[in-house]
Amino acid sequence: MTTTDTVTGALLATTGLTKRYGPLTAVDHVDLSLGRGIVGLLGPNGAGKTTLLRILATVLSPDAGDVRLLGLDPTEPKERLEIRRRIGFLPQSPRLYGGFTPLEMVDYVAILKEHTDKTWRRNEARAALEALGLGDRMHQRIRTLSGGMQQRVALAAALIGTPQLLVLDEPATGLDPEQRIALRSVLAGCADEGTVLLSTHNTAEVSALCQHVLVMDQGRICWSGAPEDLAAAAQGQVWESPHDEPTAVRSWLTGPGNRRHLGTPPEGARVVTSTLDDGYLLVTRLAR
Amino acid sequence: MIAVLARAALPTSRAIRWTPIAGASALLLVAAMLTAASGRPADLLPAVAAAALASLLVGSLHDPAHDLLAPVPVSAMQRRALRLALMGGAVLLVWTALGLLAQTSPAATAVGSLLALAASGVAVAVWGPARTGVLLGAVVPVLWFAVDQAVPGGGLAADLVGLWRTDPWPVVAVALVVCLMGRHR
Amino acid sequence: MSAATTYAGVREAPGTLRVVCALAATEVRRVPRNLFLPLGLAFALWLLLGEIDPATEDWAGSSYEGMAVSSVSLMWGISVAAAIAFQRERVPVALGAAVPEVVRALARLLAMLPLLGLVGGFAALVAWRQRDLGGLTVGEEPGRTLEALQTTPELLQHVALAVLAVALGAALGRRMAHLAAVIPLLFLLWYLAGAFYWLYGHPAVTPFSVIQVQPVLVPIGPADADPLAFPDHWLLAAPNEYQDGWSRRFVSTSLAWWHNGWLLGLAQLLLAAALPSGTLRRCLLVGGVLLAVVSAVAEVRVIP
Ligand SMILES: Nc1ncnc2c1ncn2[C@@H]1O[C@H](COP(=O)(O)OP(=O)(O)OP(=O)(O)O)[C@@H](O)[C@H]1O
Ligand SMILES: [Mg+2]
Repeated sequence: MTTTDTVTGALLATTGLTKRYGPLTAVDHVDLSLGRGIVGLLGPNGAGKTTLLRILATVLSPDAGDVRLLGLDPTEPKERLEIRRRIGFLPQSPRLYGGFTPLEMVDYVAILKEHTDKTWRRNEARAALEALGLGDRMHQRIRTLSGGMQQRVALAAALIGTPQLLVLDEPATGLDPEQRIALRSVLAGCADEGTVLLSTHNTAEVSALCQHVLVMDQGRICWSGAPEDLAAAAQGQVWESPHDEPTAVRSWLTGPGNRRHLGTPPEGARVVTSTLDDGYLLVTRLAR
Repeated sequence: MIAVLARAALPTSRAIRWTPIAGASALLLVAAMLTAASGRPADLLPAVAAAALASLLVGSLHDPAHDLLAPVPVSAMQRRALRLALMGGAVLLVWTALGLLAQTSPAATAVGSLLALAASGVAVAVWGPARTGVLLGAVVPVLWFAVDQAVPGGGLAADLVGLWRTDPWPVVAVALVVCLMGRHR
Repeated sequence: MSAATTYAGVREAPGTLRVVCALAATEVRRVPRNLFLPLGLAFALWLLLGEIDPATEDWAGSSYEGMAVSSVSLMWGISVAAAIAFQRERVPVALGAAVPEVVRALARLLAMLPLLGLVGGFAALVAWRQRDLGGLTVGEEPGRTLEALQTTPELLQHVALAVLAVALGAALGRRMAHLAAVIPLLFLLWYLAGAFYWLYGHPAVTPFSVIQVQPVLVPIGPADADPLAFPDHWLLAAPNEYQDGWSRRFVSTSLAWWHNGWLLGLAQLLLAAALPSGTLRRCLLVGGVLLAVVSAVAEVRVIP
């Protein structure tokens, strides 16, 4: 059963969430209200995504503002414990015990998530590892696995126990295209049960997977809505030409002899359909 | 909670690195046998052993998977306690063996000084910054011992840095209170 | 086309030596950022200039022995500095870069040279201090001197120990996962070597000790032997609670020289453990074993 915030019906809600590192405000008055489904968090390097996700995973406490996760308050020790029984978290560049096998590692995390039935744990760990394509590597030491495989072990550890809130910091880093596609189905399965919040730099991931997208820049959520709407935000403001355009906000090479431009198109420009990338670039540019 | 920790004990013991403590114990036991054979009193040996073992005990709190495990229901403090219990058992065994082997006064091998150094290290590790806390904590026992050796006797400073030997139990109590205050860290 | 022609924009590769020096220059700036080094130096200076005093010594010769081990806390600091430098090598930075791991390791070692200079200065200070005190006491009547001065190889043992300290720190730092275990282990090793030096003073053990403290006690006769019958250039130790008969306090320059050889051999073996596999490592292993074995055998032969 999923507990939601009694007032808003959201699984995850924040108001005025702020985190500072000395003079730098890494997360700046963030207001969120997320229900069931997969939410993508986009943003440039240093935007504050990791900081925000760590707060939402109860790992970091904010300096100001309120957080409610699964209808509970993470600042209350008892409620935080209840939240922790029901969330999964994948940190950015996770580190594992090299001497363990994937099965042992995931089993260990399951114990720490208070799953005491050994058979259940083993079965769940196996299932999670198999879903992520590690069925044949379960008994090999982690230090002998490739980088992408290690990332998948950490993902399996985050997924164990069917969490209602899944917080994933750049989950697809290092995964090959086939594994990315496999990850999509796994996450889609999790979203039936609750909320999946994932940060990524890959807009294709967002359009394929997410029902909702948040764009973060300089600690603030500068855009929020459906992925199609983010693409549409740049509609009529993207054009292509073979040369540089001084009026463009941004220009980049898309192929030999072809450049794409963002901004107000000049008279007679060849305007093209906008993509999520265009929307993202425009939104983060306008936020500055 | 006890049941969960009991289940986690075996995998945690595998996640701990035992080589340093095994190496240090071997060195200490050989030194204890040699001092016993030489027939000379060696009260400094347990003091050196207390500092080294306490340091290694605190060092065992280093957990590479800390980020991944941060939001599990078993809190960081409980995981620390589990590691300390596992490693502490081994350390106490070595300490007892040292007391039996070395020819020292009973006061020198009293467990208080070992606990005082270890508890202070743990307190620093708990309150220290996330990434370097364990290293800072592990340095505390050896550094405290070294400073105690260096400060000339007689003054207030010497009394203060000698507290871990002269009044270990109050030091343990203070360190434990500091640890308890940081139980949510 | 001349041989010196390069493609536009392609640099000519600088020599290895220049790369090592440039790397060492960045390393050297990091060496002093380590609390243990100044602390170790301060403690060693306090021992040498304050605590070790022949006027208040416990037994004849304790100052002479104390000066040999006075640098042990400094050695701890040096080992920690080397361990911190070599621990960085565990982080895979720029693995594909042109500079191979062995060159990086050499640069780290080069950056430790100023520390050897520091210890050289310390050894000179020990020599000055002994002369300033007008010599030290060694031996008991009738075989006794009040003007003993440590010989050059005995003083140079501090420098040989510093080489060993660098190698030990490098090996542990490179091969062990976390500094939280390396620092206490280094502490233990150096304290056991320094504070318990008398454990390794037996003639059969001293060739294989880390810090060799002369004079070495060589048993020469029972308690009722006539001390005046021994050659009068021998320094003597009378029977006491730790020894039943008369012993000779044996001081030897060649023993000290060979012991420095033994330390350098050990240092080479430890350095081999800190370096990546390759020719240099094999050379160090072979050279280290040879030097250590030859020196130890020579030491055993020198001791009467
Ligand atoms: N522990 C810390 N101490 C000080 N500043 C920090 C700390 N962690 C993060 N910051 C700063 O907070 C800001 C946000 O960092 P964060 O890691 O949240 O960014 P991010 O959006 O996850 O970036 P990336 O896409 O590169 O992962 C950055 O400016 C960073 O320098
Ligand atoms: Mg990040």
